[in-house]
Amino acid sequence: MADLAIATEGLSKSYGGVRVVDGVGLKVPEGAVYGFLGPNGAGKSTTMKMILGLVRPSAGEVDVLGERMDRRNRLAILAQVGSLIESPSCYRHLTARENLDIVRRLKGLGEDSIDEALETVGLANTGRKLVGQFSLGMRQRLGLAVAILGNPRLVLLDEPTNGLDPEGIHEMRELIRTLPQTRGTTALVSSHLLSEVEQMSDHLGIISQGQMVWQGTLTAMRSHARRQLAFRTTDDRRAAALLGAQEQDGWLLAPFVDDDAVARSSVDLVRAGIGLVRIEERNESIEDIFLSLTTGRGL
Amino acid sequence: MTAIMLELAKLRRKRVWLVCLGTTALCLMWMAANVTRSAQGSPDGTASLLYMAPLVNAIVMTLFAAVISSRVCDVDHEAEAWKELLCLQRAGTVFGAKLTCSLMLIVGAVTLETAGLAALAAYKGFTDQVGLAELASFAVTQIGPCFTVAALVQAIALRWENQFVSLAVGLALSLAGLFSLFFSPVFQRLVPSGYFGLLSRVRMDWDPVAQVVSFHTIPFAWGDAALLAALCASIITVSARWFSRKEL
Repeated sequence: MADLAIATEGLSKSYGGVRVVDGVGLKVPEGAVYGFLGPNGAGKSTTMKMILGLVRPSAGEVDVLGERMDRRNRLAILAQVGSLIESPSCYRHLTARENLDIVRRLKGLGEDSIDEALETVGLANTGRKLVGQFSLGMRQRLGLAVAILGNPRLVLLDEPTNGLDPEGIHEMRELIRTLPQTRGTTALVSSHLLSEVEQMSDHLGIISQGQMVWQGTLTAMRSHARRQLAFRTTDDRRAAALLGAQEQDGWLLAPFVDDDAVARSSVDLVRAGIGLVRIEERNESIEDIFLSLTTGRGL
Repeated sequence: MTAIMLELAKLRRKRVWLVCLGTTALCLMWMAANVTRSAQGSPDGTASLLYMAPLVNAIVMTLFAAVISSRVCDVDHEAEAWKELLCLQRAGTVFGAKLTCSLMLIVGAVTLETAGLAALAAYKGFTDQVGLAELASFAVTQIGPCFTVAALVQAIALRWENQFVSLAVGLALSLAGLFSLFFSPVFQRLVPSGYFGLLSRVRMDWDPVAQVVSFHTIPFAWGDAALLAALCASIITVSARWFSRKEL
């Protein structure tokens, strides 16, 4: 198993007796883009804040970059971590460069790191323009520049495409997707949009109502997708008995089988005097699996 | 030191130095307007200035301390920068840097005011002009209450994002400072801005028969200074502890 950039164990947080994060065991492999997926209010941001030590867990442990994090070593570990939580932190009365300079000085980096970060997020030509005059998308890019300043080993990005236009979303996705290859940075990216996570992550963790309901590689998730054959016939009741299929929304659904078996089924139907109107192959989408998991139906 | 420099960098274009200059100018103009009534070469003109300055400061400098302390904290609220900062800096370091930053601005404003006061006395040719040590002593007695007000307002400004609360407290302290001067020292000791008067070394005597005002100097009020230091330390300790435990 690859080394873990983040490993949490039984991570929980309660507010006023309500458990918003419940025993989360997150395992983010080093070098991965880990999509942290869940509906709004599932506990994604709180979990990320606990990983960064901004919120104290009610229970559980957090290991970041191979070290158990506590009050004494927290800042030393976080010196190798970049983050963008909820909304970008930016001083509106300063320029993008001046904003990055504050973080650069705190991280003890060279001035060239600013140019590199600005170039990466496409804000190199903003010059003396104050951040207060930036669009929401530009501020989001600046937030990402702050997170990746100095090529940290790990970045935590909470809904990083918020406020971006379609082109910006595409660029941001590409940037995040290539972080492990171009910068050697592991990324934990939260989102409530499955399609977004699917396009940039190789690992996936699904949280629902504060509990981790599934995590693993995207390939493993896809392997759980069921394949079915859907039939429409002139006599669905008899056909269902003959094929061992279930009726749903005017279709007969049978487990997927090989081509020979499909051919035999069609012949059997014809022999029984049942007309075959339509036959389709259906693949369960990741979205279906996600919905099954987040609504408690399981895989 | 880096933390303090960063606090100053964040205040760029916030015109805090203009606030310092404006406040000092207001105080000096107020005092100059009164001092015009004193005769050229008056034997107690400087004493009257040193008596009046704490009264003016109880109102103006209290409000100034509240405004700059609130602004120093608001800059990070406005930027939603706490999540970023507290991943890179200890909460105690941020807290201390902000307080130091406010102190620097207060020291700057009070030093300017003291220099202006000395210049005013020299311009009017008052014969009771004081030395550098006494001017420094005056400045310290003004910085102390200002800093305590700043510490109290910082505690509030960090706790509540809406700076109306901290500024309202500043305004209330300013008025309390003014009115406390007309009450007994026991009441003055209850409000930080009351210490402008308590620590003042110049007292006024009014002879109702002769209808003459005279001034005399008293020893430095170490007891009240210690009380103010204890009050300030308590405010800082409580608010620093709360801030370092704050969850975002």
